[in-house]
Amino acid sequence: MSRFNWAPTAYRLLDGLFCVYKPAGVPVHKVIHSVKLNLCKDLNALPCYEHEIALGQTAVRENLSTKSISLNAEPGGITDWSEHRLVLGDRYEDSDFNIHFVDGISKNSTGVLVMSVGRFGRQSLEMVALSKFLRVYHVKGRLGYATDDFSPTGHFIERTSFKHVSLSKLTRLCSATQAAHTRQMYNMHGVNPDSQAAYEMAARGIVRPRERRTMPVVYSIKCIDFQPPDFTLEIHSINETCQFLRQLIHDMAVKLKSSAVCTGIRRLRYGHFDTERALLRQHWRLDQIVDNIRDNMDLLEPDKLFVGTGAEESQALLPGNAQERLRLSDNIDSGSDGSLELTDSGGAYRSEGLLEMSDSGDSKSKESLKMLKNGGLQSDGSPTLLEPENSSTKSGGSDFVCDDESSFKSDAGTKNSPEFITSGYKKSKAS
Amino acid sequence: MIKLRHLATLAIDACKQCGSVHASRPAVTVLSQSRSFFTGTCLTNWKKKHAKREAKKAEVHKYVGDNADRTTIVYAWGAADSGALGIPSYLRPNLKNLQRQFLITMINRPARVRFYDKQKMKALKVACGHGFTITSVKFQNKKFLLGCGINTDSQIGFHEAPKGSGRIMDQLIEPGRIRLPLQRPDHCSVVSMACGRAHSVVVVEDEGVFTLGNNAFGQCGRSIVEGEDYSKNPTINRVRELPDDVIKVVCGQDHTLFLTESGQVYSCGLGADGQTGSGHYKPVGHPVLVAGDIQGETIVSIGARADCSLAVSDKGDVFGWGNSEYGQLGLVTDLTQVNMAAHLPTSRCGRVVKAVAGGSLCALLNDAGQVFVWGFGILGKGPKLESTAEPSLIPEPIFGRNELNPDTRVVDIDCGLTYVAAINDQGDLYTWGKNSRGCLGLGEEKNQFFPWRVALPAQTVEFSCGSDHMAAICKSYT
Repeated sequence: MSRFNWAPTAYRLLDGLFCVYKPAGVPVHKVIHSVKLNLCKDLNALPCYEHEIALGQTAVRENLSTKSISLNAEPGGITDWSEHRLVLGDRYEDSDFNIHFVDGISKNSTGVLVMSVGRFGRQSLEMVALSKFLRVYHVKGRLGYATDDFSPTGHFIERTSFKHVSLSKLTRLCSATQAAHTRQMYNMHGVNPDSQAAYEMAARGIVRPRERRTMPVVYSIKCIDFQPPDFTLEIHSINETCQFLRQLIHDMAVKLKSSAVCTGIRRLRYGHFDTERALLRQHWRLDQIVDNIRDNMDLLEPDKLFVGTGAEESQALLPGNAQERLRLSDNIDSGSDGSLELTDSGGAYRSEGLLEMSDSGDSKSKESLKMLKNGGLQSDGSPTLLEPENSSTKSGGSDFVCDDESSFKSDAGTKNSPEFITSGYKKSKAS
Repeated sequence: MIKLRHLATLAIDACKQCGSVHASRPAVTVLSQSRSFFTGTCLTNWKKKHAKREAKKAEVHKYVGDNADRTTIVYAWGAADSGALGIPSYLRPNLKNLQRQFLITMINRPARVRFYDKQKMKALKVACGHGFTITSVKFQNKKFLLGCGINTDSQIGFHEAPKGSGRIMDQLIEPGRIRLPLQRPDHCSVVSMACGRAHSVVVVEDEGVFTLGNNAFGQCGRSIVEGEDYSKNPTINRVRELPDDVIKVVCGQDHTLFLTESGQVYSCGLGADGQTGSGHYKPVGHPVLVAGDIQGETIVSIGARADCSLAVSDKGDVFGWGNSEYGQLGLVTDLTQVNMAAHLPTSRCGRVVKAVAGGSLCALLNDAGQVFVWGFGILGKGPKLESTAEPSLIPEPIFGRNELNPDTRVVDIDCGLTYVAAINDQGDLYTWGKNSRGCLGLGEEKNQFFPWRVALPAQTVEFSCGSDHMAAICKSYT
């Protein structure tokens, strides 16, 4: 049972980014469909029509003595049946949800998938896309045979021996493949290699590609498990596709004078979105999604969002953070070993901001930055992004449940939907 | 699928129509609906395909043995017209491919020297000079020395082909054997070797130091003979004035430095810039001990490619002598020539393990795997830094150290006249500097202003920088 007692209340909260853990064997569009259906089901289970009473409320208008919490508790004497559930049917259907995703993964891959719902969510998703987060994958391979599409079920090509492949050989190859891609990383950024800027960029270490869509750039390949014929690689990359990762496994196996197929791809994290935040399939319900959207709000801050677009601008935005950034960049200049811990899936990317190269943020990101600077996205229908005024009330999911009647300001207009105010986020009355 | 396979095995008698064996009868009983499919040619095709696929699955390709050693591969790049790369097809295109292939005078990316693969030779050491290369190889259980490139001063030996014809070659476009006057000619295990402008020096284990080529300034360690003709000259000199424990030899343009195991440095050759460090500017025809601050120190590493010489002691101190026109020794002197070893105050560079000196620039490597550069030219810190007398650190991230690989460090450096090369512990080769005739191997002819990885498809084990070409001995991944 949902903790909401009024469907439009919940529906209005469905605006932001959420993060799901995509199971294997389900394509992304099926995930979206499934989420939509679940949301419809959960919302339609809540009262929403004029004659219906919010759960937990008494039917004050009709009879004060009757205490009914039933959905079907109808006050007697309805004259206008045009707004009745039995006449209109369910209020929410799947086309009411505008769900998008960024950097999807293939059907047989599994892992973290960032999705958005609603208009504000869509705008946030675009910003996430522009920030070119680093992604972490665990890619499994199996030595011994090759197929035409690099998957274990593809058309069989040949069997090869793999007894000669050892962990040390694989590790060596991993580092070489990585170094080759590092070289490409500088090319991707597109600065003139003869310039001082190119040198300074190279001296910083890892740099992001400038464009949103480029060739895949691999930053790190590590062998984390080797039990022949199976092995697992941890790959950090940007702008990759699942097919690219499968091909990478194949190419590496060819260099090892053997062949391999890719038996599984798992995305552990997408920038700040890690497996901790991702919702499992059984949690793709209204309550959890609303909670997830609220939890992900802290990732929409400029220092976390604009790592790959316009760093100097986000520095200007947050003076407090700029100092931290300066300190970190000093570390890098003095040639310290980096402060980034990427191998564990839990730790946050502390120096995600270091990984960018920021000589020209494109216009779109600048625009979105400006919007954020003005205190939120003020376009109509989207909520204003405000800092929580009172963090103490923000515990659990309780602040979304409106138990007492006072939180409902009955609208004077024709609409019966109550204005919803929480201590955390305010909905502007512009709509 | 399973049912079909089962049926296929059941059929034993031949079909009356076509004579071939297929599963017609059971198919009729079980799946009468699709009779035509099973009785027609489809089944035969299916069976054939299935059999083919199964046969494919049964066959295991073995591209390499279970206990195979890693293959040694030699790559070379840079100026090819001297023949120093050892790739004959560049200079003498195969007649069969004449229409497609033409003379290649330079190559700006690493090219595999297939000579060693074809001859089943394993390269052990390589040294590049001005337009020639010498390589120490292992063939079966023999070890010997090969040379290719320009031979105008007999720097890669005396090559007469055919024998006794008097046709003595002054250029070899494919590696040819250098026959040193050894006690055991087939066991030429080289300790160290180096090539200068027109001379080569080889230190052979238990046999001594041998020099070949031009001796106009005494760089071969023998007395200078006025008017000696070095071309087509079969003379190979064994340097007798040196102790037996020479472990390292380096050649400048026209001088030679020898390092002994006990940490002493000997020099001979041209001393016009004081590069012999013997306290005067005259040519030295016999190895003499380098004078100056170096005396009493135990030297572990020496470096010289042109007219400036550097040495590193076991304490990590750097000593320098010779040419200082470009501020190579600018830390201690404003003079352009120094004829005695001077201690360079490089304490801020940490404990130095190796120092190399090119024509106008110097580089050093410390025990933390950091590279410092100084001098004049493209130093590797972008186009802004053109000259400095103070060693300047090249940021480690350029050599592959980043947040994801915090332990990567440079393990070896070397330099040509105008460029520098370094390898890190992962076997990646980086080059930077003036790209004369593609010697950086970066696939471009532009100068490179900071270290850039050479796209070698194997791990670099050893490399050598010539004047305008480079060679690297690599190991494959498996």
